[in-house]
Amino acid sequence: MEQKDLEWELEEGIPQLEDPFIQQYLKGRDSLISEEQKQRHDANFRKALTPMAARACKIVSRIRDQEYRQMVGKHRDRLDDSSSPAETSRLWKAVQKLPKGSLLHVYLHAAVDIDFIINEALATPGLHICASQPLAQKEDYKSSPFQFSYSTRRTSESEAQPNIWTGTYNPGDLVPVSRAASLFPDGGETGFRCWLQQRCTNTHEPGHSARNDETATLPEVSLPILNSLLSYEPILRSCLRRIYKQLAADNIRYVEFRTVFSAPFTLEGANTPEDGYTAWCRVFQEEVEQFKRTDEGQIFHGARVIWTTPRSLPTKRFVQNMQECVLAKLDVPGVICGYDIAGPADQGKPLVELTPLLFYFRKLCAEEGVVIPFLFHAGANLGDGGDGVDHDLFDAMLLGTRRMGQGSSLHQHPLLVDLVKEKKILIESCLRSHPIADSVQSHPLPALLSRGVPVALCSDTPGVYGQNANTLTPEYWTALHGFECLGLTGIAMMMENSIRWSCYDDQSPSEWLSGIREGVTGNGVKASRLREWYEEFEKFCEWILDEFDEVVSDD
Amino acid sequence: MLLPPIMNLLFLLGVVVWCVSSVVSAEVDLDFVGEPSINDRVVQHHLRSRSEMITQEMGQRQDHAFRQSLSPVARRADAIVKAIRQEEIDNFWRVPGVVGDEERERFAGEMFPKARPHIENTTLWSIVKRMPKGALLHAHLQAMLPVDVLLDTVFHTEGMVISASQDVSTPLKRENATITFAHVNHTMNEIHRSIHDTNYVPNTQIPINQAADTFPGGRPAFREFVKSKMTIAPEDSVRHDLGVDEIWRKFQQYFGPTDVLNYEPIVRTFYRKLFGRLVDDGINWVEIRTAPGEIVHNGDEAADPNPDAWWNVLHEEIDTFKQTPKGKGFWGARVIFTDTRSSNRTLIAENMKLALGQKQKFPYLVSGYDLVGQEDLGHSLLELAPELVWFKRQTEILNVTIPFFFHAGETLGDGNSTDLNLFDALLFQTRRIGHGFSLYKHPKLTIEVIQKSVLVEVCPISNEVLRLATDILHHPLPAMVAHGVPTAISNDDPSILGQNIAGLSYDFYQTIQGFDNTGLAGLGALAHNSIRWANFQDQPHSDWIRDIHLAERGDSIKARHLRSWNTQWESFCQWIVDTYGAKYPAAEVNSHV
Repeated sequence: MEQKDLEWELEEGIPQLEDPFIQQYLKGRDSLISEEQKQRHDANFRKALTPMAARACKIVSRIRDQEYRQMVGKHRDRLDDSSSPAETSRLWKAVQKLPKGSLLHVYLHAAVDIDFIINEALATPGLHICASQPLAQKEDYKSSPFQFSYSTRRTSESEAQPNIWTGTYNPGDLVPVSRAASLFPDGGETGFRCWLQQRCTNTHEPGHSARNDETATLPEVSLPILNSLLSYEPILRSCLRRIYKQLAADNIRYVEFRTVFSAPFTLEGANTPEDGYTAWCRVFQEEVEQFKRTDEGQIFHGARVIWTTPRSLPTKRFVQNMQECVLAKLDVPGVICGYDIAGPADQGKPLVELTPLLFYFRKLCAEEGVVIPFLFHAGANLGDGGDGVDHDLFDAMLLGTRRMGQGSSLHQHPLLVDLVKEKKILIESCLRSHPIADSVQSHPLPALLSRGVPVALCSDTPGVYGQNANTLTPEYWTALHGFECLGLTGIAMMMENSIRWSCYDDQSPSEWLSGIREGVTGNGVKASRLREWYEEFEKFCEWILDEFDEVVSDD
Repeated sequence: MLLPPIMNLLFLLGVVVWCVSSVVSAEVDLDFVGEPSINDRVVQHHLRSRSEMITQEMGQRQDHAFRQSLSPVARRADAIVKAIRQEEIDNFWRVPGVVGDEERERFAGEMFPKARPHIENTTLWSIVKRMPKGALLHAHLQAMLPVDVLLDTVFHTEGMVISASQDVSTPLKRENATITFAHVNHTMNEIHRSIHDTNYVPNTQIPINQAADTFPGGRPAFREFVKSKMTIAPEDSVRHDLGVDEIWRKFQQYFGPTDVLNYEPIVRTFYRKLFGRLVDDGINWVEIRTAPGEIVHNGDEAADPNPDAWWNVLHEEIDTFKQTPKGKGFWGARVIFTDTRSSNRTLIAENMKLALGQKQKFPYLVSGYDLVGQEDLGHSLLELAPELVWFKRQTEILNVTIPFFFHAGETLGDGNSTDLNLFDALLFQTRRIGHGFSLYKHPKLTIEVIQKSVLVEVCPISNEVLRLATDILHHPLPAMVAHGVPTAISNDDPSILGQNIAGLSYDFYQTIQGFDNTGLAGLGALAHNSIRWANFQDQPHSDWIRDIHLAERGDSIKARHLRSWNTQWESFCQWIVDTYGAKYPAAEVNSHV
């Protein structure tokens, strides 16, 4: 301040920052702020930091502030920003290096790298494409359903070759994929690849905040297409291998896939598909075990499946689907670890209408002696309450869900926030792929963290949203960069949570709760993986100090 | 091969059915016992617990007490409105786009600029428009009256001129030019006929009617041009990807031409039309945020050096309006003295002195004090703590009451200085919080706000257009109400932000349309709150709190106004029942109301 102004202020009796009165004000302010911070989700974690970790946190915050300021004025925090900060951001580098624990919320069909699976579709012998109507008009091939299927049947030279792109196509006729590609009216094979990619991914244009249920249904729209590909053994195997590699490369050690079993599974070269999904589960398990034996897979602890029933199934199919789940669980107990219902929450039946079915499922499990806990999606919609699906949150809670997918509207429910904490329910939050917010900063996540709700970040549908990589780095980077309050402790806490809330073993409700409460002090698999994580985290902090010490040395 | 019709249907529904002839769907054949049933004891138990849990949570809502006190007629009206709203969501709003014409897509809760043209075709709109809305607590004077109305006044006022910072002969020049209105009482040099001429000398004044007539495209085109200088275009409103700072740069420019609000005849007409339109929209009381300006008297060119002139004009217009038939139901208006938060601190302290002086002269007009401008970029309340402490001390010495009504938390940040303004606002005993957009992220502050009976002035459309929430569905209002935070709905800057009316109807409409949990009863509670937290008279803090809690039970001015609003509300509810009751006989009365 100019000397003149200062004199004027003193003359007028305007207090200065040093005055005891103002200092007292500041003290009161600090204590109000720290009072609030006691409730934060990572308050204990923060208190227990080693001196080295505390220093690492300081460095990370400093880097975050620097990079955030540099981006002000640019298009910051767009979720679908295509210019990856991967090359320039030191924060990115740090997040990449972090031990991320588990990925708890991701759809298998939507985790697949789309370009990769298109290549597989074209390269796998015997794969065909078929549709329920000819894809002759531009509108047809933009929106009409179609799928892939494996068949050993060879058409003879004399037989008429079906062409799916013309009006004379008989619905249901199988067309070899390579033939369909070369006949594609809009640019042959290149155009075909492009078209397939568009049908399987969502990249909405900036400036058009897409309608809620329009984007929400996209994973469901692409589901039949991708699932029909994944239902053929060789493609399932190669996709799983690729996903595991990507996960391990991002320091993710364990994954639970939400999987919709909608297409019968066909073994390699088989004439007919399998009954049920026992064979699918065996293949899934084999691939995990094989991957763990590779060099890249050494750090990998495993993968399991959350059986997911589409919300829109009619009751009879719904019940059959549940029965298939229990059967597969009986045959291959190591694969299925939970049960969920999927589909846009704004459409289809809310949980309350499904409760008779869900209690039926619970009884089924009890009778067959299997443990398949509920891991429900809830509160993933916009808007507030009424009798609609926002109330799924209440049902999920009462039905004893162990985690909650999305929970984006949870912050609107004070009672439920308290219950989620009391019942030790983890929120699986997906910042980037979920269309709940255009800018990450308008996401309600901070409202949950500040109230002490346990959260882990997840990727949901990375493939379908065109991210083409199974990593959590973008999620955690987005959060760390976007929310000033978070800091290293905030995201590390969420990573620790992801291990604490993993379903490594089938557990009864009481075993499950004590596993979460005991944390590192327990003696099960979970405890040892948590201990391992803490060791890795300390190593990470050491690395931060080595790598970025200059950032704080100018203090 | 043709699919059996049922399979075809399932296929189209996205339900995956294997469509190849060789595949037989696996028929599960197991000895599972029993079938799912809604009458199962366990299911019934679940449904009971669920409804208890929901009821328990509803009890924490800020509007709970209001809902409890509803009359049977109001309950019935609430049920009818609920049915109407749902019917319109299903049958009016749900229009799917088609390939090639995606813009046809229409849905309940879409972005305001896109929804606005459709809103007035709904029944819900005609109900909301008629609703008694209580008090308008958060609006900035210069942006309160639609541009067209202001322009009409300018056109019809003798001696008005326009000038531009450059000629506006090309689209680019039109975009970059700034325009200014003024009053002159001499004859104009005839050389410059139009601001559109390429040889227009920057800042030359041209009579407004002449400028309009010579504009290419005539008056309508001229109006469009002027409007483009004073309102945010719908195309800009929806560009959320460009961020908050970008829209604020534009937003602040649009205030420029409103400097015309210093010429006495225009100011008087402005107030008259403003009050009239507020009353038409069911508003009885308004607290205007503004920095009092200068007044150029009728026929003059220079401003009156005496700052009292501005207050005298306002005072006279309020009194005159209250004498008119329309003004009978108008309780009045007060001013929240505002300063620009980005000013330097010395200037802010100088203006505080001005505020104190004017408070002594016009105690009935000066309601409180606030700081305005983009909160993220101006001084934080913490930085101004010395000045604010000083100001408070002066009010004690002078024995005047100028409470704070701070803007705070109008930000996307979590833990940045704007977000932290919420802590300071509370510590400085603010009586209401403007926006409080980030409040819902703060558990401790949420409790403090409730305990200290501080109301949040929520401006849903403003928050959307200024890019804090993409649309009404993303707004934190429901989280605040659910936790018990007192809130009221305001419109902030309706002429610039696209509501384009003086009243609150669009903001009320968005609130009832967006959230199932609001309903007519919730909207009523918000209007009721606006009166409970209106600053009708100077009061020590303890009396202020007492009157909020006593509400209509007291004997203060506030209680009297609340009782008057209750009467309006009852007859409004009766009107709904009379008008729509026959069409919705079955609309059942919800037990949660």
